[in-house]
Amino acid sequence: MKRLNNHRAALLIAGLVVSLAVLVGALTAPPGLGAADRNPDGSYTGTKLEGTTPAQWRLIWEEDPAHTATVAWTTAKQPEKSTLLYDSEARQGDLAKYRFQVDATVGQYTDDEIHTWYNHAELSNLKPATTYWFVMVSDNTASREFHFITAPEGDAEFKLLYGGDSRSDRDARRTMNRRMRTLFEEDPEILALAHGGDYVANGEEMEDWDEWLTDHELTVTAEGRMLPVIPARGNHEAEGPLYDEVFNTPGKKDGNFYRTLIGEQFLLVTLNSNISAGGNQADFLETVLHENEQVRWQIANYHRPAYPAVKSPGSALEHWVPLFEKYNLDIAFESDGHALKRTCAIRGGKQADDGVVYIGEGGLGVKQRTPKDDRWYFKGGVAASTLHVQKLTVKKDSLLVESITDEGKVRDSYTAKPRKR
Amino acid sequence: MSSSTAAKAVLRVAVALTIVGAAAQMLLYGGPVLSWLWLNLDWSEAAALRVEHAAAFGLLACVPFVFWGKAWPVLKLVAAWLLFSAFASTMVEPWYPWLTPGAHAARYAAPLALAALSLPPSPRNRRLAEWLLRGGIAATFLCHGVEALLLRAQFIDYLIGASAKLLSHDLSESTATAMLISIGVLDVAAALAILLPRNLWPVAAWMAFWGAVTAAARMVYFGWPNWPETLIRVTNAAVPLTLCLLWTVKPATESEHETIE
Repeated sequence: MKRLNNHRAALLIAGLVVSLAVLVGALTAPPGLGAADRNPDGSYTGTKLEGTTPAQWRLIWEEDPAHTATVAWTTAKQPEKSTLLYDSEARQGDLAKYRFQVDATVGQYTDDEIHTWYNHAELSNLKPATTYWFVMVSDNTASREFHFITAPEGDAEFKLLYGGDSRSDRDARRTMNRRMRTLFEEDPEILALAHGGDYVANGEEMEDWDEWLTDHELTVTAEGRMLPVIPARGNHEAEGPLYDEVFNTPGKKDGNFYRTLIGEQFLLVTLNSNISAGGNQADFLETVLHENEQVRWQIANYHRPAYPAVKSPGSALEHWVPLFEKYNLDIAFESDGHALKRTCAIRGGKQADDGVVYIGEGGLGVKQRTPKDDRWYFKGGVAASTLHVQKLTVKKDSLLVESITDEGKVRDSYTAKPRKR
Repeated sequence: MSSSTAAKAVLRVAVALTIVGAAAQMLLYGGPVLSWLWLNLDWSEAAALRVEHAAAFGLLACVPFVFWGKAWPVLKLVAAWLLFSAFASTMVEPWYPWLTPGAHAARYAAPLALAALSLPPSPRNRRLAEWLLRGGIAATFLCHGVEALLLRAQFIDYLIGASAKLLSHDLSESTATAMLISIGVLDVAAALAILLPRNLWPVAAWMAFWGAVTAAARMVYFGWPNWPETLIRVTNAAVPLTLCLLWTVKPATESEHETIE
């Protein structure tokens, strides 16, 4: 009996202590964003997928955007033939007038339930800094006329957008797509969007990509200018063939890491944080940084952060950061955390004026987390919870990165000066 | 010291450390339950954070009771949260999520086994504890083995990073990949062997050694700030070590003597 009473007393004490601790934990939790902070939107519209009508357009840049590009689109049915007609002059969609054409590769997206088709038209031998006008034609159905501008050559000044994590919150994604379109319309010097990955929640489901692709149409300007995408793989599309089918396998298959030169003084290295960071990819990174040591601006883009705003660091910290520091990278763009961040300049795990700055964390259409703003590397930097996209203004004497919110306000800005290399 | 006493001591320390690791993970980085409630179930971040903080504080409050045998039902609470957390991971983990509950099995099996050992000594309770430990560590090794055979990139980087840090040797990705396949085969073999109805203490000893190495790898690779990741995996070593003790240390009483051979 005494043993039983002892047991009951133990349970009572344990129950009281644990309950009290649970209460204290609940009451001392940091405030997060509430549901009211979301961006409710109307219905989801886009070009209807039917027959061979071209829809879900996107333009992909890879290694040499001054001379090459891929225009991709989706059709509901398999076209017998898909062609891209293009010209360096506007032809208002008059198919007979376009001087150039290229046949598209057609294939079915890999999915059990949605049986739509991708069309990839690879353009080559393009002229730098040139506006190309084009229409997508699948069988007898043509899109309206669109256009894009190829990357410049030489020591050029231009602008770019950077952002990541457009998954999970469709309202927010559409809000940010509209924001990017507004920026693109207001500032024609913007050339492209470097995407940091996590386009969709489940990269192995075409249903998710279907929504993303439809929403991506919102980035096209009213005049039909298409915003090229320089894609990086995120962990939510780490597996499966759909990423390559959507973006025409940027970088080599099973790798998806590559370098993009815009002009002769801007290097963007896109890395894949879903495969080994330390093996072949680290060798590639070192080779690229070594070969381009004289390039004025050197930027990296990958998904999982080395200096995260919320979670724990990824393999980039161990394998890529030493190379960034060795070759004096200017900025590393990181996504994944669902927050806005800019670290102080970091070298050797400490704040250093000549260090590398890490910017991003993903705010293109996912609910934003409350960042751990007390981490040491945010001293002199910024950590906030807001949807955002970064605008890079690339000049000969400075590289300005502005973090712009969904409302169009500049929440943070950082200016890099050319380093001695 | 009897085998049961030694086993309980090891499990108590391991469960306490796992609790600290799990709570620290939630408080420092945010855990899978937060992501699941917030991103998948559309809770507000404030509410999801409240749940995780409450759970973290609650778990930490359980630590003293882990060392108080009479409060063994608290251990079930700990196991329930760790199991719940594993299932939440399956909802948010994009890389082979169905492996997560198995990979975490040692974490929630350990407090359950400790609860069984804390009951009045009997062959039935001892047998129950032993099979919870065997099942838990077998699932953990099996799932990690499958992850290795699926060439989890993180594991390749651990091998390359450990080789550079500990041996000052640049391991190529192809060599690391070949090593990972061997490790995967070994893990799966150990998982199956530990389920055989024999007391294969050398297998358990190997698993304890390898569990400790892989738990420590998280800290070797990322440095001290990654300590919660190591603590949360202490049971990967402690569970097979406990089996080893149960099978090799002399039982104190007749009732403890009966095993399931």
